Amino acid sequence: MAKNSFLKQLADRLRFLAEAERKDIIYDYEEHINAAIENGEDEAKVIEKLGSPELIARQFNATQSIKNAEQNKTTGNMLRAVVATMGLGIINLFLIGPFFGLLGCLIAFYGAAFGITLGGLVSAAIGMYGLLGGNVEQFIHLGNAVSYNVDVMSMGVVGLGIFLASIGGLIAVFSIWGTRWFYKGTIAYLKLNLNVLKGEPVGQRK
Amino acid sequence: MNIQFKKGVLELCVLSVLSRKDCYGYELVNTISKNIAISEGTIYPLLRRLMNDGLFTTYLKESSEGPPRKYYKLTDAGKLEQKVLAEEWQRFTEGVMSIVEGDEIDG
Repeated sequence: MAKNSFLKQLADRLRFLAEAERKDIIYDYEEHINAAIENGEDEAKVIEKLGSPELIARQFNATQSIKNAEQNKTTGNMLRAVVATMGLGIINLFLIGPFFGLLGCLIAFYGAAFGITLGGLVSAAIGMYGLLGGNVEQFIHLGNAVSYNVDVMSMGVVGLGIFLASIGGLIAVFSIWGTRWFYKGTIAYLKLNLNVLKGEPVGQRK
Repeated sequence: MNIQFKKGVLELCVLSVLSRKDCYGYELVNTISKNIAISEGTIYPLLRRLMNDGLFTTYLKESSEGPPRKYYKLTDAGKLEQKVLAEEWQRFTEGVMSIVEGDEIDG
């Protein structure tokens, strides 16, 4: 491959990077190739030793996508970082299962937090309605076997509602805390992967 | 060489070459690739990452043969990191060699 073709292929693949940084990187490779030629090396050979533009670009893209995910904590950014790092072929595939497992748990916890809080609020509202003299029996049927005082039952329902809403809130707090932990852990793991040199030996020691 | 063995080692190599003198890209890559088999193009992503981590800075210097070249220079943090990594690597290889050669400490 010729120098210009190599540099163009590399530039085209540096999707995640800002224009200025892309130029800077291309400049580094151009300088490298020029210096090697000045040193008497063959152009095609130098480019062969650099490796494929696709593999090089993947490394820059992965680094940048992790940086983005660190600065802008969104689910989309994190998934992009995971996918970009997976593209390096160095992530331990056994960790993909636990990753999605944990992700699923987090989603389930959010669902539970939402459901329990909502249930609690509805229950509290019904109880309040009863205390204010509304007809609670259209919502709650205890049957004829039990005799009860509507006010006492309404207060009980309010109490139960507040209790449920608190539990829901607590689960929500834990979910948010868990999400932060999960996000940080994922980023740290992706960074660890970047430090692995993708071995693609260019031949034996010369 | 096994890929796992190279984990983190390239960083030590880069820092060690730069701890002796400032280098421009090709000079640095060439020094390393003469000694260990690597895909040369992957050193530049590493250089950029280490620079963002503050381990070295760059400056431009005129060259006799053409446009100015970008030189890499270790910061104090980079020098410290080199020492720490070199010691870790030393301990690790000594441990491995004692096992390989059969004079390890028995469990």
